[in-house]
Amino acid sequence: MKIKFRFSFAAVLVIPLYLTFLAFHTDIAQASDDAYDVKVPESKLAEVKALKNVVASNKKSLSEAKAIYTGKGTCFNCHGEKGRGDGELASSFEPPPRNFTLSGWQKVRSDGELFYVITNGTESGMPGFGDMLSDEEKWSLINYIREFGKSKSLASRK
Amino acid sequence: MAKKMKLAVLVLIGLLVSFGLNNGSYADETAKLTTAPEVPPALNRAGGAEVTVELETTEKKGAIAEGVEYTYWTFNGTVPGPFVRVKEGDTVTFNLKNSKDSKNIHSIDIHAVTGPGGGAKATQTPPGGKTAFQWKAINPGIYIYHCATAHIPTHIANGMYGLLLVEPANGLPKVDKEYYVVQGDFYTKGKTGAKGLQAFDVEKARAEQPTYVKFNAMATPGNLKANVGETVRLYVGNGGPNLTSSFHVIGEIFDTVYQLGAVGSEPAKNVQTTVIPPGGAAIVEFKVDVPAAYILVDHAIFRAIDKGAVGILEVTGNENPDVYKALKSGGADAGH
Repeated sequence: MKIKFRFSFAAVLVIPLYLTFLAFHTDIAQASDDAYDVKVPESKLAEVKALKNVVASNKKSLSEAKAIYTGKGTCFNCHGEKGRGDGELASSFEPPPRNFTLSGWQKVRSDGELFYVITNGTESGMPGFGDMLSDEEKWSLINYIREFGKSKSLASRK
Repeated sequence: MAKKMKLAVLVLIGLLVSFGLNNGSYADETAKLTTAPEVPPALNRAGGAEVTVELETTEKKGAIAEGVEYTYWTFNGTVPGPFVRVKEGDTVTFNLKNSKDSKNIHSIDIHAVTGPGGGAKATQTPPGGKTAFQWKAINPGIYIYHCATAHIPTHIANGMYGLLLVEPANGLPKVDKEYYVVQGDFYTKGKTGAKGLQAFDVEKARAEQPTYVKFNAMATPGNLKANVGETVRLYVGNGGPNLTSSFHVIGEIFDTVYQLGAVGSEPAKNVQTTVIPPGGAAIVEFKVDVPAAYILVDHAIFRAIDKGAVGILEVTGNENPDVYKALKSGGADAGH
């Protein structure tokens, strides 16, 4: 009886801890090798990180951003409608397009860095949207991308 | 008073005529575009004109084989895109529009352009957007244009290419018929011949194992046509993305080939098969002496027989027994 109690106690305590570890570990494992690479040149990093998002994240701006994400921004083709990096063209890219649902990635990337990447693109195939989107549209998109990292959000709903 | 009126009218007419003449020599023109296999007429003017070219990128379904559909990405709704003809010395304004119904950004890299990305840097165009750039046609020749938006190989594999001719200052020698043919290799999820709408297979594309190899994959259907005694010129491009074409016309010899599209170089004479790399083109010319259906092929012959790289030049007219005649063979004793 005592042994059974101890086992149950361990199960209650250890299994959730293990599952938490597993979730965190899986989050890292799911990320491709370059997930945590800084995409901004060293010389511009401080300036870029200091950039502040000038668009408030609210229902209206997120709704507009969703229209860009799935429309003229064409983001969904690669990053997927739910931001999982699994769009129709994802398999054409190596490394694969960013999975925005990874919480670890969401934590390490500043809004300024995302603004830089959206504007200038990356060497791994992301096109630069410098002339195709206004600054305001880019900041709105960044708010929308942030929503993918939240479990209950506009972005995660269909 | 009447005399003064007459004078005024004459002066006005004179002014209008002189205005017309001043603008007539190098009038701005919009390039006449044609869908393969048609070619716009030769430019009966000197170089140095201001030419405008308008293209629109679209994504649309079309047949790739009988009972097999594919979603092509196109310039002006056809594969290859339209044939563009300008002259050495022209200044070309290129306007690119991307259909609002496109799902992807598109652009254009014209191999005839001297400048960043052949125009691709200036023409990354979102769905519903418009871009433009201007360039000078310095080097004569036949050039591929293609989309150059990431992932570039996917855009090309889906059919985004065509040909642009920069006529040399004195034009090309006159011929009787000109046609436009572009080869492309395609990669579908299903095997060759698998029915229904087929998706692009990037793994097959990376492995360079096409399910289809086509001439003018989604253009005006029908055979090329010529009459016995005519000289035919083919502008032949290769959009790729992967395969190098061994272009051959069964039953003909190319009298003249501008190899690699190198107008200005000494053309090759009496060529059976000419090599056309992806992103390249050639001009071949030959006189048709005998009536027949001449078959255009990529002589890497599995591509022709099994994967579709076939076209037909239908030549009609009188038989020419001096050049060719079939001899009546006998029965069993006519053997080897």
